[in-house]
Order: sequence, then structure tokens, then C-alpha cells
Amino acid sequence: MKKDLVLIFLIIVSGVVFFMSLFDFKNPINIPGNIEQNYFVLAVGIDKANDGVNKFKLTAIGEKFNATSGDTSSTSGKSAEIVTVDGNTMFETVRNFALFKSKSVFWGHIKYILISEEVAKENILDILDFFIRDHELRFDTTIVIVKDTSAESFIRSGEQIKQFTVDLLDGVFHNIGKLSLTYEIRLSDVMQTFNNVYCSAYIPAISMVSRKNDEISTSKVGNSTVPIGGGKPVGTTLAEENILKEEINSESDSKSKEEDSSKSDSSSNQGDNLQSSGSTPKDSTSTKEKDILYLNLNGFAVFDGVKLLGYVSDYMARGLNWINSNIVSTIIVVKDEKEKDVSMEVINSSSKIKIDLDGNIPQASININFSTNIGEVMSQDNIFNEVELSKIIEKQNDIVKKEAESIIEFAQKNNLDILGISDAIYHQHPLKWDIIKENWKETFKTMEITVNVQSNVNRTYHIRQPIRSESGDK
Amino acid sequence: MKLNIVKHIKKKEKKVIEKQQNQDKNTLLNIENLKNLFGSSQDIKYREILINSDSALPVNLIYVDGLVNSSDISNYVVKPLIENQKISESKNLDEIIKLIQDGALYYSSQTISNDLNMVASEITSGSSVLLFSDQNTAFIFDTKGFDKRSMMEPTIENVNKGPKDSFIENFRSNTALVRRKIKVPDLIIEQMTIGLRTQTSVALVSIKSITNDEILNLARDRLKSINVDNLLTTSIIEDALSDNLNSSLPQVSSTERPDKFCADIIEGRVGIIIDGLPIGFIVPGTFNQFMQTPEDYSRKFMVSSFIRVIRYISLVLAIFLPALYVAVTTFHPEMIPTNVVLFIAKSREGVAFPVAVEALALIISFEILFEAGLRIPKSVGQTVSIVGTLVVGQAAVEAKLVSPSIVVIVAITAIASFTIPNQDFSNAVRLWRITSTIFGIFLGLLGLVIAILLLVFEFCKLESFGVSYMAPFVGNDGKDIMKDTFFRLPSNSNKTRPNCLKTKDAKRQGD
Repeated sequence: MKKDLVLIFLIIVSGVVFFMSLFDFKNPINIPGNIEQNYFVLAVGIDKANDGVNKFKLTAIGEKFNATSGDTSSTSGKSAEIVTVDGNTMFETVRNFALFKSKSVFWGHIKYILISEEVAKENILDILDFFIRDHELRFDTTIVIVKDTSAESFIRSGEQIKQFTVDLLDGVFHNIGKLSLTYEIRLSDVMQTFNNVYCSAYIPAISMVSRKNDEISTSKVGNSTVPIGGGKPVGTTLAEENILKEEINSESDSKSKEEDSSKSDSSSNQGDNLQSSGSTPKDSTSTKEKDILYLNLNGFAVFDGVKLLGYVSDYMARGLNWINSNIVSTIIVVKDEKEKDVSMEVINSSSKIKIDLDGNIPQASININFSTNIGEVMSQDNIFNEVELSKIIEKQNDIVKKEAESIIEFAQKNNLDILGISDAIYHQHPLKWDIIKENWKETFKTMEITVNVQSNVNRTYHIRQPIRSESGDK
Repeated sequence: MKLNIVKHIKKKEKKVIEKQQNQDKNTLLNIENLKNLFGSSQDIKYREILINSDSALPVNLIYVDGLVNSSDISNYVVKPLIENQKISESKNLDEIIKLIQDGALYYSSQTISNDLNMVASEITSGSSVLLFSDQNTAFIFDTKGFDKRSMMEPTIENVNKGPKDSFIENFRSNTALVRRKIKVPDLIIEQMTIGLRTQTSVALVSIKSITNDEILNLARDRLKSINVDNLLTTSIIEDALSDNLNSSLPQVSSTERPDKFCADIIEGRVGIIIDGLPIGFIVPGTFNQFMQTPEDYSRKFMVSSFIRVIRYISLVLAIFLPALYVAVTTFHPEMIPTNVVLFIAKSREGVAFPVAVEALALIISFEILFEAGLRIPKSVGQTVSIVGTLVVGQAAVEAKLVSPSIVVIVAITAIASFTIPNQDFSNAVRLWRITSTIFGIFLGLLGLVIAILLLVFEFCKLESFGVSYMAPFVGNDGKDIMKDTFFRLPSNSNKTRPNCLKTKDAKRQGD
């Protein structure tokens, strides 16, 4: 009994002494300190550095703590503490924080990694290696590609409107499910998809749009009023985009010269930091007319290997979500017999890919199944009879089919398997996959992919027939 | 050489014989020896009564002033001695002794003795003695009549819905209380005297047809092996009955409520009542007992199950919450949810001391407050509580000595530790709280896990009277783990006694 106690005591004492000897109190590196000595980074943005010396520029944003008295007298909202630092590799950049930051940077609570378009164009995995390897970071960080602006200006944009950028990002990502135009991708997903050579990855893309007070917003989602394939381009590669930008620039240059002369202010700091095209419609300069900046989380950035290839947005992104079963809820607007609008709310959806093998040539058929509720009837007709309802179901099936087919066309044209077909072949026919995968690029481009959509309408909420549907104009 | 040894032995033998003779002379029951024994104490009264005014018939009445009920002596001992016809007519003491032995005096409790030491101890216990000095006989009457505290509500264990009587310091009243609750003649109250100078009576209470004889014999052996001067404090009995003196955990359960005492005896345990202490001890003491109160059985079973679960949770909180807070904020801030960690960091901005120091300082200051609270006179109590709140709570936080979150944590810990029903167990918890905090400070969560392991080891290795401390979780063949531990099942499912006690009659109710 006594011997046990003495032995246990010795073990504990030696263990404590061993651990304490690891700490060098004069020059501590990773000494467990107090919690307030940590600078909790909530989001980090990665850019290319413009000076010829360094390669990367890192912008970290955290919350600023004012040493007020004991009672937490919060002023109007949180204030952000933003730090920018340069370096050659990610790890070196991160250590460069120690040069001028009094607190030690703590990566354990990071929520978002914002990667600018320029960096992703070259090689995204190079920069992500540090974030995957380091033990302090989490695997459930959300990765976002920042379009058209640099990540630093994106992060600093919150200061303009006196809001905390991470809160804005939180809000936007929280609401993805309402329209399902994009999907939240985590670092663990990125690790999986990039590791698979036959798949292409897609990462949500965010941009900042300034909107004047009286601008009419265009509808983002495909519906029967805006024809599919018409209107603004929603799926482009970067090469195509550059061509398009030049066209827009040449058109609007003449217009903007007139506008510029009416504005008296020069552009703010943000204008200096913009890396992409400097055309005014996309600039987020501060004017006296107070543009409202809002985050536009719309669509995906699509990767070919490790390089950013292009973007899909609006209905094509939604089509991608239909195929990958990433739809939470969305709105489909169809027209009834009398060309009046009926809005359908999607409740749930699922899709399965079935592979049939014709010899060694695969044929994929994607079966999408979803159910909707009738959310709004913008007329006074009673559409609740079998004929009308079946027509409505047909129409919504059509819309979904068109969206899915548009993204399939884009994927096959650019030879990117973002649909998960290689995965399906591997799971359904694992032996044949060994043969098929050797020629996968060619096979995918010419593969026959059919889409079958099925749906049903479930509920109509509080009322069934719209008001005044019994009598009235027929 | 041999001669010397023989002489030596003979001398020794002589001395022994002499001693014996002296002893014999000194141990004769007569008035001189008694007076020698008691010395010059003024509160022992001797009164010589001449029966029938005959100087050849002296009898001595000896009692301790203040311990006896004088009217009982006058009415029921002296009065019939004087007024009894046959006694007043008799001529020699032997006849009188025989008459008294046959029952001439009125008093109900009467014993005859000729042992000097026994008579002396009875006198000091409060009996009055009629001593016939020449015949070396004495009659002992149990005329106890000292002041005793009247039965009041229990002071430590509060009662909401149940009997409000409690043990008092008087030995006979306590045993009477037990008898009133258990009326079956199987209830055995074995008495013994412990303590060289205090001569305290100790009773071993058990029910013959239920209790396991091994537990009873072991308890009796341990009590008889106590060889001390005084039995004024509880630690002597508890230490003698405990299996493991080096442990901080109590192994003997104590209560001041007779209903809890009797319930445990009927369950199959053995109870111990001590003269002069308003406490009843129960052996064997298991961990389960320390977390239960009789109040559980006066509420509905769902309510009391819920409250029992809360009690266990607050036990864990009371031991480990400060250690968890210190370990997580110092070593693993990535484990806390983001909003919470930002809030804690914000509230700690500018605070002078690191988390470890303020946690230890607050825990120790709480212990100081607690200890001081025991000794504060009631008139000053209000002031000190105000000072404590102001100093520790408000002023320290505003002066940025401690952060507000640690004050909240320590306050929750302290309140949680007050839900533990048994005071001894709660004191052991205080020790473990500081130990685990120190582990958490040095080694983070690893240290906390080491502390948990050590605590579990401490709990599981204890045994009390052959019953494991963690019964019925441990060593009970897996039977009735859920019965009456975390939950209290409805009364009609309480059909058998605990298996760990190995009682003779396991059935409690039903056919």
C-alpha cells in the first residue's frame, strides 16, 4: 500500500518535472500562455504580393478587445483588428506576424480562408498545404475564392460600412440554403476532392458588388421569364471572361468618362489594391452617392487539376447542386395555363447516378427526385385540378432538367468531372473502372449523360385556392 | 546463579502475593474504600441512615449531586426503607438485605453488587447506591435525573416532509428512539463500555434475523479493540471502524436523524450509538449512502430520480469544474466554442494575474470564507457576508485583480458542493478540488485526466467491512446497479435488500 503511493507520487513528480523542463521561459515559443495573449484569427485572406520581393500577402482579421472596465460595456458592435503581412511561403508569412504583433497569433478558431483569384489561378494546393499540415488549424474551415477583388480589400470592406466582415460572411453562408446557389465546402472536402485525380473540385466564389440605390436587381435564378442560356453569362472560363471584360470595358469606357467627371472624390485605398480589371462598373470605389456594398455569394469556382479554370453561377450553379444533391431549398417559378406565375418552394431533393456499361463505354443516367410546395399563386385561378397540377409538375421538371443539362454541357465541354461520375463508376463497377480510368479524359468528354427528373407537389400552406378564385374573370 | 534466580523469582512471587492481598483489601466494598476511591470530590454525597434509629443497622446512601433525581430517591428508596414495616421490625442487616432483595423498596430498577469498581462506575453514571458496608453489598438504583437537551429539529440535516426528531446526547433516550421506530423484538441493542477515563457506553444496534453475522462480529471486535483514554470525539470511533485510515474519504456514515438510522438498520447494516454524542453511526458505509437523503423517499419517484441525477452531476462539477476551466483556457483554447473564447479573452483583457493564479487564489479564499463562517458569532455574521461579497466579488473584479468569469466558476463550484448530503464527504471533495486544479494547471487536460484516474482509483480500492465502497457498481455480480443509485425506482420495485450486504433475509416486501 505504501509502496504504491510512493511509486505513484514519484511517477507524477517525474512527469511534471519532465514537462516543465520543456518550457524555456526566457524565449518561449509555444508556451501555454494566458488566453488573452492570443490573437484569435477568424478569417484569413491570401493574395499575391505586389512588391518584387515577396510572393504572398496574408491578411488576418480578428476581433479587437478594448481594455475596458469589468462590466462589458459594448459600444456599437465589434471592432475588427486587421493585420497584413508579406512573405515567400505560407509558413514564413505566418511567422512574420511575430515581427510586429504583440500577441501571438492563434489559428485554432479560424472560420474562413479567402483565396484570391490570382493565387488560385496558379496552384491552389501549394498554399493550402500549410493550412492542412499545421496542427493548430481545423479541418472544418470554409474555403472561399474571392472574385474580382483582392482578399485584403474584401476583408477591409467591412470597415467602410462599420460592420465586422466575418459576421457578414457568417450571415451570407448561413443563408445558402434559401436559394441553394452554392454550397459550403470545407477544408476536409477540399482535401478529398483534390486528392482524387479523376475529379474536379469546385469551391464557392464570393465577390463584392456595389449597388446604387436605384438600380434594379436582375433576377438571379433561372425561371421561365429569363430564358435559359440567355441574358448574362453564368458559366464561363477565365479566358472567356477576359474576352467578355474587354468588350464591356470598351463599351462602358465611353460612359464612365462622363460619370467620372461628375464624381469629385478620388478613389479610396481600396482602389489601389485592386488587382483585377480596373473597369468602373466593377470597382468598389467610395463615392459621395454612397454605394451599398453587399457580398454576393453566388456560384462556384471550378478547378482543372489544381488551377482555377472558371466560374459557374446562377442557374448553372444550381444545376450543379441538383446533380450533387446539395440543394437545401430553392424557388422555382413556373407559369400556369394562363401565363400567370406560380412559385414553387423545393422542400427536399436527391439525385442518383446510375452507370450502365456498354462494353467498356459507360453511360450515365442521373435521376433527380424532388418535392415542392406551392408557395404563391399570382393569379385568381383555381389551379388545383389534376390537369393543371400535372402540367405544373411537368414544367418544373423541365426547368430542372434544363439547368442540369446546362451544367453537364459546360462540364463536358471543358472536360471537368465536377458531377461525380468517376466516383459513381468506381463504386458501381469497380473492376471495370480500372480499365476505364486509363482513358478517362477522352471518355468523359464524349460520354452520354442523360437526366431524368421526377417530382411531386405536396402542400399548399394555409390556403388552397387563391382568394377570389370561385368567381371572377375566367 | 541458580540460587539468585530462584531468590529473584521468590521475591517476585512474594511481591505479587502481597499486591494481591493488598488488592483484596482495597477492593472490598466498604465505605472507606469508596471514599478513598472518590477522593475529596465535593459533589459526591454520603448520607448514613440508621434504620429504625438503631446504630447497629447503618446503611449509606451515596449519590452524585446533579446527576440524580432527588425526588425519586426520597420517595421510592428512602421512604419505603424507613416506612416498611418488616424492615423496621428486623434486627440484623442480613435480613434487611434479603427483604430489599425480595422487593421491599418501590424503585423499579434495582440491582445488587459487591464489586467496588462496578459500584463506583454506577455512581458516576448517575445511579444512587445503598451500601451495606459491613456486609460488602450494595444496591444500585438507576435514578438518573440530570439536565438533558430536549429533542429539537435536526440542525444539519434539514427535513421538509418527514419526522423532525433527532438524536440527543442522552444515551438512553437515543436507544429509546430507535426502539420506538423498530418495534420488533429482534432488535438487539448490545452495550459495551469504551474509554478508560470516560467510561462511555456504546451500543451496537442490529436486527438479529437480518444482519449478516460477519459484519456484526467484525464491528464488535473493532469496538472492543479501542484502548483510549477518552471517547469524547467522533474521530476515535470512526477511525476504529474504518478500514483505511490513509484515505480522505469517509467510510462510516453518520446521521443525526433516527429515521435514517433505522432505515439503514432494516436494510441490513449495523448501527452504533454513543453516549454523549447526538450522532448515530452506520457501518458499512458505501459511496451510495453518502449521496442519498431520506428526503428522496418522501417525494415522488420521478422528482427524486431527477434530483439524484442533479446531485451526481453537481458532485462532478464541484470537483472538476475549476480544473477544467484552467486547463482548457491555458492549454487548449481551441476546444472552447469561438464565441465563448472571444468573450473570455475580452473579459480578461488587462487582468493582472494568469488564470492559474486567480483560480487557486479564489478557491483558497473560498475555503477561508467557509471556515471563518463556522466560527462567526451570529451578531457579526451579516457584516462579514457583505464584506465577503463586496471584497471578493465586486472590488476584485473592478480592480482587475481577477476576471469575472473565474468568480462565476468558483461560485458555481461552491454551490454545487453544498448539494452533497454528507458533510464528511463534502470535506473530502474540497481536498480533491484543489488537487485536481493543481494537476490541471501543470499538465492541462492530461493532468485533469490523471486526477480523474487517481480519484477513481481511490474510490474503487476502498472497502468497508468486506463491502466494496463503490457497491453496487463494483463487486456485486452486476446485480441491481440501477436500483436505488442514480434513480429511485417506485416503492413497489424495491423488493429485495442490497445484495452487497449479504443479509440473511433478502426479501423486503411482497410474498
